[in-house]
Amino acid sequence: MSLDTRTTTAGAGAPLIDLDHIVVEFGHGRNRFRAVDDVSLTIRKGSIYGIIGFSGAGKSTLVRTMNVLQRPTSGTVTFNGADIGALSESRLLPLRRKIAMIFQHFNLMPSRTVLDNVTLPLIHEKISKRDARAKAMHLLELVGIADKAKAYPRQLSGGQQQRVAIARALIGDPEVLLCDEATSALDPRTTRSILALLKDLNERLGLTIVLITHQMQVVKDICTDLAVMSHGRVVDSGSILDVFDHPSSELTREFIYTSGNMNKGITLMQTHPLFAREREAGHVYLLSSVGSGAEETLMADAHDRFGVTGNIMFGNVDVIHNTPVGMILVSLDGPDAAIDNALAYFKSVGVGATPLAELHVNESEENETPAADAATASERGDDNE
Amino acid sequence: MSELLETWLPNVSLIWPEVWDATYETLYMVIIGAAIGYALGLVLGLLLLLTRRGGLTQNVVVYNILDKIVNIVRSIPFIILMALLVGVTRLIVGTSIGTDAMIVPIVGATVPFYARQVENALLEIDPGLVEAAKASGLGTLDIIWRVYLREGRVPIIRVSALSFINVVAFSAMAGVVGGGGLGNLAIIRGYNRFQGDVTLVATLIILVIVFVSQIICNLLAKRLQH
Repeated sequence: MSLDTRTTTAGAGAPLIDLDHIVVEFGHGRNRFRAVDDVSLTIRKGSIYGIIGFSGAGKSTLVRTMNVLQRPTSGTVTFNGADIGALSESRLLPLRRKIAMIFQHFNLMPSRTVLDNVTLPLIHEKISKRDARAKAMHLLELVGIADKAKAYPRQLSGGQQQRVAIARALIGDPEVLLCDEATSALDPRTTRSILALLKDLNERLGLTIVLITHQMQVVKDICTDLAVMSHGRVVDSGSILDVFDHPSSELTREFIYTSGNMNKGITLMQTHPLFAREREAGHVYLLSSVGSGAEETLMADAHDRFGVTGNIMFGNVDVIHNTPVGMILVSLDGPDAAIDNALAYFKSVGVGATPLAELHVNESEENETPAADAATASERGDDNE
Repeated sequence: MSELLETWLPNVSLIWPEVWDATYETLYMVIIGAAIGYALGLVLGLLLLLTRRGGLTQNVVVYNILDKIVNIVRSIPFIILMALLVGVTRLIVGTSIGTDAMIVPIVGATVPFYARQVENALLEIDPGLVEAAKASGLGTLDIIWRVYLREGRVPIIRVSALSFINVVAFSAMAGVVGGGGLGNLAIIRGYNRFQGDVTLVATLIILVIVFVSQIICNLLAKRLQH
């Protein structure tokens, strides 16, 4: 089908990072905790790979296996065809400049100027101090913050600090940039500008990007591929349009509804007294489609062909990689048989229909369970040896 | 002026040379003691930091041994530590009296105290900085030099200033058992011979030493703070 061609163009390139049956466990005995549970995924050159999940889902631990800051308990990490998961620490050091990383809280050295922060990874490279500084200045220009070269990190805003962190990550000429919640500490506007910068680096330098986030908006804005994580497992993955078109897990659907603001409409329809009549009639559906734009004429078709009237209660259209992704909540009215026919027709034209009662949304994005908190705590305090 | 001093400090005014000698002896013990004690304490503090649970080169056995030693030595009152270390002092210095000899117990008491202070000070460094350094391909030695010691400069200066008060206290006590210095002067002359003005002057000089050290440390910390 047509989606598959888009998948290959979006995720073009040979495999760069390959995780095969990765397991990461922390602690011992009864306190043993599995942060990453048998995850396999492939990140292709040139892609922007989003990994989304709630706090404690294991995504930060997973991304740390990619540069082996976290050694997997079992499973293999392959980078450019070489198994790197079992390399000695001294052989990993130069490799980490090729698998660079940025963080939620930027982690710049407070006692060093911006310029000295950027050149820090080069201390053991055979490059003169002058050349290192010239290269750093060039990168600071690339990320748009060259005028702050002499400033100290504390004098910069969050967005500016993240730009410096990106320049520091780029100084080793990396092939891939791992972004661990890189925009989570930033306001929405700064988030957009950092995402635009990342997309620009991806296009201009061919930089592969892995992006950990709990915000679906971030994924929708720039990712070509997506994996959804929950309790250490990948519950859904593929090209972003594929995942949006055929979300195979409840959690993925939740993220999609939330990102399209559909969660609000769904909650209203499910709980508010105003919509009691529609609810009780039992014919409220969420119609969703990727790429077709079919939902626009759908209601007219339903009426003309089956005598079913559709009352649109709530709707949203997103454009992801030039492909419209639409969702509408409709209340259908007509004879039961006619409605069944209409639903079958919707399916035949590639529009998914989910009854209101089967929709699950969370009130907020930050629904952290106690178990998730415990997971985060043990991720920090323990290692797996 | 000198008449006024003679009136208010009748005994001190007769022994000014002795006072300056004692001041020199105290400065000698304190500066050499702190220099050696801080150097060894810094190394021990870093070892504690690196080997502790979650440390860069976690080693539970080594940490537990070092941790116990530090706790035990810190629990021994200094005056008893001096007596305990008398053999070691003879071995190193050749004698157990005099300012040189007193440096050994001063160092012995300073090292575990300072090491613990350094460990706690460096624990305040954001673990994210260490992680970023690791992700940048820096090794353990790089991280010690370029993250812990560099980013920990100001807290290390802060705990050094704090520990200096202890070193001065150790030196005063050491003086009494044959080390000389201002502590000796204050007790042997001032206390035992009821020459209160000697005690007072010795105290004032010690306070000046402490204040000057604090001022220097504060200025240094301010300069390095960004």
